Amino acid sequence: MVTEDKYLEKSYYLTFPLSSVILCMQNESRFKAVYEEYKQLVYNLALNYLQNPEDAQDITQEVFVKIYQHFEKHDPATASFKTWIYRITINQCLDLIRSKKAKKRFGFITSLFQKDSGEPVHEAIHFDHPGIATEDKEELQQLFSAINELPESQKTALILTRIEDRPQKEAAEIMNTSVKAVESLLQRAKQTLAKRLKDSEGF
Amino acid sequence: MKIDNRLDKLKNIQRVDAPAFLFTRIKQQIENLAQAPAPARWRFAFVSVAIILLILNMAVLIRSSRIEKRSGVEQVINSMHLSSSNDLYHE
Repeated sequence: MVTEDKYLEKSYYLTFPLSSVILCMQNESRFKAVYEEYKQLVYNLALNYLQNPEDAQDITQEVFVKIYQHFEKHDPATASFKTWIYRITINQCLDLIRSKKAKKRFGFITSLFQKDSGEPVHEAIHFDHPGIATEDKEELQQLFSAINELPESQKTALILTRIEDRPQKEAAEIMNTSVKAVESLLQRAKQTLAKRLKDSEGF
Repeated sequence: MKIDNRLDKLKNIQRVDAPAFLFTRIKQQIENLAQAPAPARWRFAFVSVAIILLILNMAVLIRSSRIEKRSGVEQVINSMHLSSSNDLYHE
């Protein structure tokens, strides 16, 4: 017989049979325990991808709703609960970035036909990372604008290893790839960033 | 390498606390989802099945009424000993 308090233990939560955990998730207090455990991870990861608190809040909200809805889809044999949450968060962030880019493209196309509308054609990118100190803001804003131009996989490898401080092995697991592939992605990301930052400083 | 030094600056980023109101918002969204109507795909499937059933029922009704009509006429012909043939001259 499992006591109620045992569900709240972190290690037990991850190893207990899935069906029981699903039942647990139906319970608000159990869901809150999961939320309390992973809210910082999700919110900060979203901030590092999007660099603005409003979007990060929206992503955190969507991620936890997804966790609540799709808990039965998590298979502990293929990935740990934490890795699963990382993947959901990364996918949500990338989806939002893609939709923003699509809106931006659409805004540009419509602006060609409606030059005199007077309305903003797309939302300006709003950089406001609350985790960045004021003295670092200018330099990191420039760095993030270069990071944001990287391909998704390179950006993810860089955020996971350099900002989230995850070991390459864990980053590879989250990205569902090999450690060698992560190394290669990081190398290419560094080369691209070095070139872009040099170019931007040159002008 | 210079880029490594610049990337090391990323380690200065501090962890931030998630806003306290987020959990209430998440709870609200979960409650809204529970009360939300069935997904559009399900509604479309339900309407399609209902229309197909209605058409089938109408087809069956029309066909059965035609059969009944024909059998009624045949009954009258038989009871009055009339010929059901349109030929004027019987061979």
